[in-house]
Amino acid sequence: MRSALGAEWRKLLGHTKAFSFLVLIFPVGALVITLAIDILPGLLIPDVREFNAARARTWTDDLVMVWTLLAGFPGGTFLQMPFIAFIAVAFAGEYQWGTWKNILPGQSRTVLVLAKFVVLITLILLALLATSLILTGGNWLSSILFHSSYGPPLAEVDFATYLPEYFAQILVTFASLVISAATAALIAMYSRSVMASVLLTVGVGILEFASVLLLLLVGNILGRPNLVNIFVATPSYNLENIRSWILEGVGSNVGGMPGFTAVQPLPVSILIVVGWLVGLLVATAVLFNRQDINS
Amino acid sequence: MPDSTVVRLDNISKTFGRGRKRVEAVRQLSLNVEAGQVFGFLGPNGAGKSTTIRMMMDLIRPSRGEVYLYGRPVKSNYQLMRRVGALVEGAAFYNFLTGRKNLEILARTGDCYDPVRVQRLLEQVGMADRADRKVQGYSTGMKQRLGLAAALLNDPDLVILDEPTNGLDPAGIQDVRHFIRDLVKKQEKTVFLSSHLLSEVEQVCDQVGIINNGRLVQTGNVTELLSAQSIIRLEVMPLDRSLGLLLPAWPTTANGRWLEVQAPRDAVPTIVNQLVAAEVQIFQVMVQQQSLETLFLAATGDANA
Repeated sequence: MRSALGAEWRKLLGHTKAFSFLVLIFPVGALVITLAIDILPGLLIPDVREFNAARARTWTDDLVMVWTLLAGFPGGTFLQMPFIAFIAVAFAGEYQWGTWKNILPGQSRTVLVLAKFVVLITLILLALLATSLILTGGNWLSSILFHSSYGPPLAEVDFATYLPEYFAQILVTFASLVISAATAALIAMYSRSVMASVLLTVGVGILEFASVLLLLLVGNILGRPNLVNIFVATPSYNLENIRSWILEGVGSNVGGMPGFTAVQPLPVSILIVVGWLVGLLVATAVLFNRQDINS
Repeated sequence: MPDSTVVRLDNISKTFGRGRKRVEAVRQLSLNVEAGQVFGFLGPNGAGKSTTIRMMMDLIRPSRGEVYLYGRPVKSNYQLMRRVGALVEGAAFYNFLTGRKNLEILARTGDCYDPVRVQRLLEQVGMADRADRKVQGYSTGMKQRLGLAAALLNDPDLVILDEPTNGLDPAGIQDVRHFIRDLVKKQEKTVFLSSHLLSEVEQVCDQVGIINNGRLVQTGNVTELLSAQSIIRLEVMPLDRSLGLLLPAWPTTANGRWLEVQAPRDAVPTIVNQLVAAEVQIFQVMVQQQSLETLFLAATGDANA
């Protein structure tokens, strides 16, 4: 497994175009936004400098901003698209390049799938961490340059409250990303096409989230309003439920959705999310193990 | 099965698609390849050569039958497959990486990375000076050479080469011929070679198998197969009586003052004795050994190939 991980790491970093445009775009984008929208205009234009000086920003919000944006709907689904494309390139690309035939005979197919998956998730996580740090660091630098407040001071931060919130948000975003990644991997292995993988994964993400509305509509038409409770089986509900339990101390009722009564306990939601993840990975491995490699 | 049997294809078949799209690419194919041989695998386009090779590599699973390498089934046995190196149906690499990086990644995936060996293989296939360029700039021939190096990364016991001379110039083809002979003679490897170049196969292979429409139609030792199908030309008088004497035993035709007898080379003394005993005058005897091309065309029934 270690050597397979090393090979995947080198291969994916070596695909500089895909890695730059689909992964590094986040930290580089954060850097460009900080410099081009905040710092440089502030240094050059007096009005912007005054505007920046008057802004009150908090590093506690900045650190968590990227993670919150990526877990949201529908924005998060679209923000995840570059990552989904990168995962699709990594999995479906092997078919399009005709390279599975080179690497398969020497390694277990399951190990190859897992190695790809682990390396992809690690690269994406590192990119997001870097993005989060660049945004926070940029705003800190901006606050120094323009003498604005950038609180709260460390002494005033209630870390016992903040850290669980921070890690809960990272965990929920991470889980959401991993499930999207596993879905993309499965579709890529089935369709053997990068484009199909991206479009179908985004489509599945939107459909899954929108299924609550469909269930509500169908339930009302059929006179069974509790049909909406089926939504508790989806990753979207359970991720939101986990976030809600950790941050607010209560389970999610899907924003008070009519007919929704099946609020799940935290352990059940964790189990369902893990079940989805394991299920998708096992399905990918099983599909790959049964597949004929003709290219 | 003797220990020396490296490859055993046990009645394998492969069907693609269903219903009207159903294609039987390989049908009940059985063959053995012994250690230390160069086995030539011949067949026209679409005969099932590459499908057979992919089944040997566990890239495609047989619909029926079983593939054994070194006496063990290949299915999901990647440890066994580490004894095998292959260049399957045209070399394909990561175009965005250099040749050297490609070999490094392949070797790491197979848990056999050794930079010294990579360099030695690159030199062996004549790619050392171009190894640090991206593969996207390589010609087909350069990719084939890199493919040969990739096939030997794990120092395999069995080397499977599917059309290894595709895209190579005549000098490159000669290099590959020497390369294959060296693999067997100096490195004691077994080579399974699929090729369209019949003269190449004739020169390097010990055994040959001919596949057509998914079926193995001819197999055996190259020398024996070719000598078994010789044309014996005899200048005799009288021609008609001679033809009548030989025709019951061998396919014989008259051509001018010559008789042409399709028979193995070993049959020459018998034929000559029979004619002499019948007081036929013999002026000349010539044995014309069939080429592999003639044998191939006869076996595949494709006069236009």
